Amino acid sequence: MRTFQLKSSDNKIFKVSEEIAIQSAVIKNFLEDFGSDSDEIVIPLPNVRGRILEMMIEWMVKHVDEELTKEEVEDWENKFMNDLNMEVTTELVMAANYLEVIGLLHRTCQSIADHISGKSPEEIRRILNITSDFTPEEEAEIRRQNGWVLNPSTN
Amino acid sequence: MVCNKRRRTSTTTAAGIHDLFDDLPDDLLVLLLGKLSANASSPSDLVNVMLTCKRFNRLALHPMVLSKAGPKAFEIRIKNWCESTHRFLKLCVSAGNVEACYTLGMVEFYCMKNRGNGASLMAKAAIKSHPLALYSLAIVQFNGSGGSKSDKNLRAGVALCGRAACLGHIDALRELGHCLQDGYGVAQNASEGRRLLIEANARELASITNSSLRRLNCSVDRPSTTDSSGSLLSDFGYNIPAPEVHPANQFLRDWFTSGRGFIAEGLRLCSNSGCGRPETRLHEFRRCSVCGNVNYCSRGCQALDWKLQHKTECAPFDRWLIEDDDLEDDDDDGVNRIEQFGDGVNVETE
Repeated sequence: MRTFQLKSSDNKIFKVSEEIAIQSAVIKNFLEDFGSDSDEIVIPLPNVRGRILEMMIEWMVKHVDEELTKEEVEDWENKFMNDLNMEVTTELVMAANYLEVIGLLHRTCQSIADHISGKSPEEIRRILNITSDFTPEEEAEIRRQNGWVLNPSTN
Repeated sequence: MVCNKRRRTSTTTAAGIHDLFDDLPDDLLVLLLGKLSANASSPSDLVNVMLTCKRFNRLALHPMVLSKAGPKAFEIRIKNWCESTHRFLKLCVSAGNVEACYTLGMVEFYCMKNRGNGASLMAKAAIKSHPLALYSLAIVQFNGSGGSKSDKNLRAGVALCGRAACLGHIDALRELGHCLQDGYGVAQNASEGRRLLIEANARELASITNSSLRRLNCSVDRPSTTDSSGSLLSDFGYNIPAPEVHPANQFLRDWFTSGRGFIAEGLRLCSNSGCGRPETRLHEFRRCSVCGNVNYCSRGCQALDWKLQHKTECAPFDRWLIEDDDLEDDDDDGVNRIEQFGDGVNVETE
């Protein structure tokens, strides 16, 4: 089994086996192009910082473990996602997108979607640190257009 | 780290708060909002996102987001039905959302009485293998809804039911079983029909126990949408509420019972309260031939309502008692009885 080194933006080095690393489509393509079987390959990942890369590797290791049942992996995923704050989750979304780890990308997006689902606009802004850029008139107009949803008791 | 830091400070607002999604490209935000809309528990989930900021407002209406919206996103209250509701549904239809096609199709067909438009919207969903749309079109074909009695197309109804049943629609499977058993719109094959009916009952049982187990596990205290004075499994000693009503059926029912919609004189609503379909012409629906007091758009509704409610209130109408002395012999599980009498006595002409 070949192993490689992944280098994060803050120059941390992680050794991973091919089996684990190729869950990233980008790394898989990189290795296919490279075609060498030397352990010396260092793949630089300048868009991912060490802490995030470490979590991604943790994710990928769990997803090649054949001893785990589907339910066990799901339970683990839920716990993994629950322990993350919104900022780290967002960083993972971008890293998973960049490295094309599709499972992680969808799971992290789902996690954020679940967090803001059913929340008021004010709560969503607070959760995601968004400042509203609407003028009061613009906001009123959207409320007016969607009155059928927002004011169930009127009309 | 350096580049991370730089990026972070550049997006820091005057108040010193970092906007989390500034670095997130639009396509990822669309993916994320698509997941939100697929699981939306009500239409307000999407609107709240639109009200968050300009970028969210723009992307929440992206076709990729609207096309994924699930059935609950179209849970529309009658009181609030207006031009913009219609516009929202049409927007989702043009984004290719099958749920929106089905919901708007039902509303157009039954509430607005735009039969052609409604049927073609349902067909749009049916082509994309939407089981409810396939089954609804089957009901339209079996009953000749929107046309005259001679517009019934039993073969088409059977074909549509077959496709819906393959996709796991239980009422369609039951209807198909009856059709085979009776040779209604298809060559008779009683044993195969019987097999399908048994399978339909088994699947119904499984889906109810599954969903109520889930409900128990989540310990969600949700008020039952239907007023269930009986329950599907009451025969087996369980007390389990009726299956959840689809938002489109809920809308139809509310539309016609709230006084908002108008049913022509002499036309009746399907007596299964979770259905909401009205007759489109006099004596379109089959009626319970034991009591003659209830009317159903389909055998699926008849079978369900029997278990939920009607068996407690059905009393034989004298005329039938005299004509059918062997009534007791066939009464093995109640459902059979009503099915048997429901058949053939499809239209009561007086």
